[in-house]
Amino acid sequence: MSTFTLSVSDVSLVYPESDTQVLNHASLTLSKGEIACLLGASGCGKTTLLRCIAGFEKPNQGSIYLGETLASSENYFLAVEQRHIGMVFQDYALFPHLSVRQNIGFGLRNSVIKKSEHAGIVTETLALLSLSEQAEQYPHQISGGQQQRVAIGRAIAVKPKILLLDEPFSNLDLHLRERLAHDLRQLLKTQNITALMVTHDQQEAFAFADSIGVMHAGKIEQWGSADAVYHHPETDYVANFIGDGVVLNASQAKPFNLKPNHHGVYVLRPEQLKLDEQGEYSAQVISSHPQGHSVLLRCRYMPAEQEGIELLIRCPAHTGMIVKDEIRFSFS
Amino acid sequence: MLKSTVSTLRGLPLWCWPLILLLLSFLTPVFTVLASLVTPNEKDTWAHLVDTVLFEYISNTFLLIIAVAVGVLVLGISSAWLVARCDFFGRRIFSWALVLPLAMPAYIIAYTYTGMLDFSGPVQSALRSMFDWGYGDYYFPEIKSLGGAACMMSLVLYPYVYLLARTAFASQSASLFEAAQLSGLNGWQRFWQVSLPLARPTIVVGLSLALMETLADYGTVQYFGVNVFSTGIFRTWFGLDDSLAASQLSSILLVFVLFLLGIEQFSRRKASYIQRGGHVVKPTYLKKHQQVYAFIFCASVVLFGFLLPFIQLGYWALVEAEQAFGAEFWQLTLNSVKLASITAVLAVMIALAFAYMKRLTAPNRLTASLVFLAGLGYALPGTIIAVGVMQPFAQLDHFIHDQAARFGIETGLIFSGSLFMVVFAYLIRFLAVSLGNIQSAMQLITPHIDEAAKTLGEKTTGIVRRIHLPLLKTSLLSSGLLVFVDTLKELPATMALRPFNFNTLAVRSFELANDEQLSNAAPAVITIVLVGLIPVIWLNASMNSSNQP
Repeated sequence: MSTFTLSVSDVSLVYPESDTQVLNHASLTLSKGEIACLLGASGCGKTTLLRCIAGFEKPNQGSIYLGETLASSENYFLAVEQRHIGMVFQDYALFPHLSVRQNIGFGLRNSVIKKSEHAGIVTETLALLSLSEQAEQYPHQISGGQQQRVAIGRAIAVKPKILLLDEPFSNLDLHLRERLAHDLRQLLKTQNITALMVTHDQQEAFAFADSIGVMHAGKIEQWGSADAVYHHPETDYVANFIGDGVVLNASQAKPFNLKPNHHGVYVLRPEQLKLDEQGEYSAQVISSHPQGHSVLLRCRYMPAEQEGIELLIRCPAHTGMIVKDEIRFSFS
Repeated sequence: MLKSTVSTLRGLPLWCWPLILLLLSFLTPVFTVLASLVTPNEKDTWAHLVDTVLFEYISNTFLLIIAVAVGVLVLGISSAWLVARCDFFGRRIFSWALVLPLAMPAYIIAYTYTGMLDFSGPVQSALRSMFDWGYGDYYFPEIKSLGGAACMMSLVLYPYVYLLARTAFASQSASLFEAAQLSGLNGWQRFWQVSLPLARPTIVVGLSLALMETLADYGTVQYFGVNVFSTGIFRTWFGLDDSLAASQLSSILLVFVLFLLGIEQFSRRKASYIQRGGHVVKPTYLKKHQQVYAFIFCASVVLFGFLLPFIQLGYWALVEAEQAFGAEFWQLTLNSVKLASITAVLAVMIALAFAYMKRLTAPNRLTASLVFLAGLGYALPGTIIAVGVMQPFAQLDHFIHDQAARFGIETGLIFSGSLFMVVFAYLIRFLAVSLGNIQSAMQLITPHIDEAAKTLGEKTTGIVRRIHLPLLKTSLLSSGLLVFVDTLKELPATMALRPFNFNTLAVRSFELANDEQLSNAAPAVITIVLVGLIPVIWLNASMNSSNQP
């Protein structure tokens, strides 16, 4: 029993053929209307976890609840078609022989929604996703972005308990993704839809989700808000995977008077430092990485009686620092 | 190896077993032919064959293959190049007209050219009256010869090379040629050093298909009196009445077939590696005089491969219309249509079942490779299938007869000489057509599509009804149609296996042509050609649409 919309506890999955552990005691919960994201490199198990929730994979261990309904446990498995889940696939998987309207209405026939309401729901969904003009067209006749919206519309038309999205933006133009992720978030929030997305793209995850779960080797390394994951990474993996920064151990953090977290490390982000001629610290530039609006400097700081520490400092593009320059910096 | 096979077999669901048995039964001809190699032959037919005709069979078959290979390559590659890469007057029409000869079975074109070119035919008669020559005054090439047979087959089989080469040439990336131009290669060098090597694997696939048809041909070589394997097998079987020796002869033919099949499969794999995409090359606009040459070349290929024989057949059919389209013709048509429809429906159903078995047991290697094997029947010549099917069924009949006789029941022969056996032979040869078609349509239904339907609450039966059937409908119909037409044209297997006194359009026209009653055969022949045009037009359209970006 659970008061959450989705509750995954202690789920593990081992593929017997290759004896690989794809999921390792993964747990997470989502409340009604919460939008979350599983973030990780490819092969970390994030898509597999999503497929366990959808019912395409059966975990060896642990349980999955959808609201108060048990979906999966060691000795129970609810069939996909009975889970009332919406899913958006990476390749959208639209039905090629059906029009946009028919695609969106596909699942209504099997839902509890009354038949008299079907046409109204489809028209509403089309309008919601700005697809009214494409209603009678077929998937191959519309653009990639429109196809993606049809996939979303088809999944939410049946009022699912939860919407699962598997890398939904990966087939779209890079510069569109962040905006689309943001737009989709607005849509889901206004409709109060609970959603879980899988992605390997941090920017997408930050633009989209309330909570982010960073996955690595079948484990959820950290589950928390975007702010918590970025500023207070709990493991080395999370610190290295998300954003730029350097991980300092306790003795390296000491000269800066920084207090390590309970894992004994401190993650120093480049935004935390600034160039400052009166700065307390000095360092030598090792390399410089222009990033358009700013430059990322990799520097070596040599505190007394210690080996050098490499630091990252972000500074405005016009400062004109070059390799081997001596710089002074302070905390911003 | 054996252990893992056994464990995969154990894991298969129960419903797979009948299908696997059916699948294995389609390999019967190969088993029969292989078994004949280890069966001692008490008659001395084999020794007799070795002493007399075996060497001739081998060398003639070899020569025929080489000659047809040269013919289809020259005709196929040059016409494909002209249509795909050059722009000239009539190009659009030739693009599809060059496929038409595929509708002409080689034996049919052989009858018509014989009618036109033999001593009493219109060509020689005209020459004689024009120059006032008499018999023996002039030299005229004999069409009823190995060279003649190679010409006939090249004229109707080159479209295999043409179709594949055209697609390959048309989809080559423009940047390759720009790079070649920058390295200083002229047009001719670009053709030999870039285009041709890139298209080679695809061309070899087309060539092997054409040569498999050459080996499978019985009508042309028999009519022309050329001694090759397919005629030799028939003669040994029916003339010398030694079916075991016929099987043993078949095994040598099988070596030829397997060699071609190996080349084809290897090239297919290679062809799939070659990347396509980017901007494709635009055809070059030819100069005036070049246009004339291109036009004449393409026009004569279409003229000799299709138009001329077609007009001649139409003329004969009209002349003989009154008596030829009589009751016998309609009976023949009915027989042919009956056989072809039964085969088409069964082939589609069986292919669908096999394709689903492979899909549902994926990634099971055993079912995948069995289905792959069942799809190779197109390579087996009708002669081998006939020999390989007849013997086991005859033995089965004798067994049933003997068992029944114990109880005083007279069964007679149940399978041999029945339509069942004919249809079974057709299925072995033509299942590949429907299987390939349905499988490629099924590949487009990705696993994600099924999964999407499931998340939307649809059950397996609903997925089949609402998604699979509508998506497969076209390919089910078209593959049925293709099998129908192929069956209608088939000659050797029908001739060897048909029930006593049961005739089809193909068999009867062959008999009439052999009795020098060419014009009486015309109505049946032209019916076969007209029906044969349907899949040719469809094939061309589908290759064109798959070729578009």
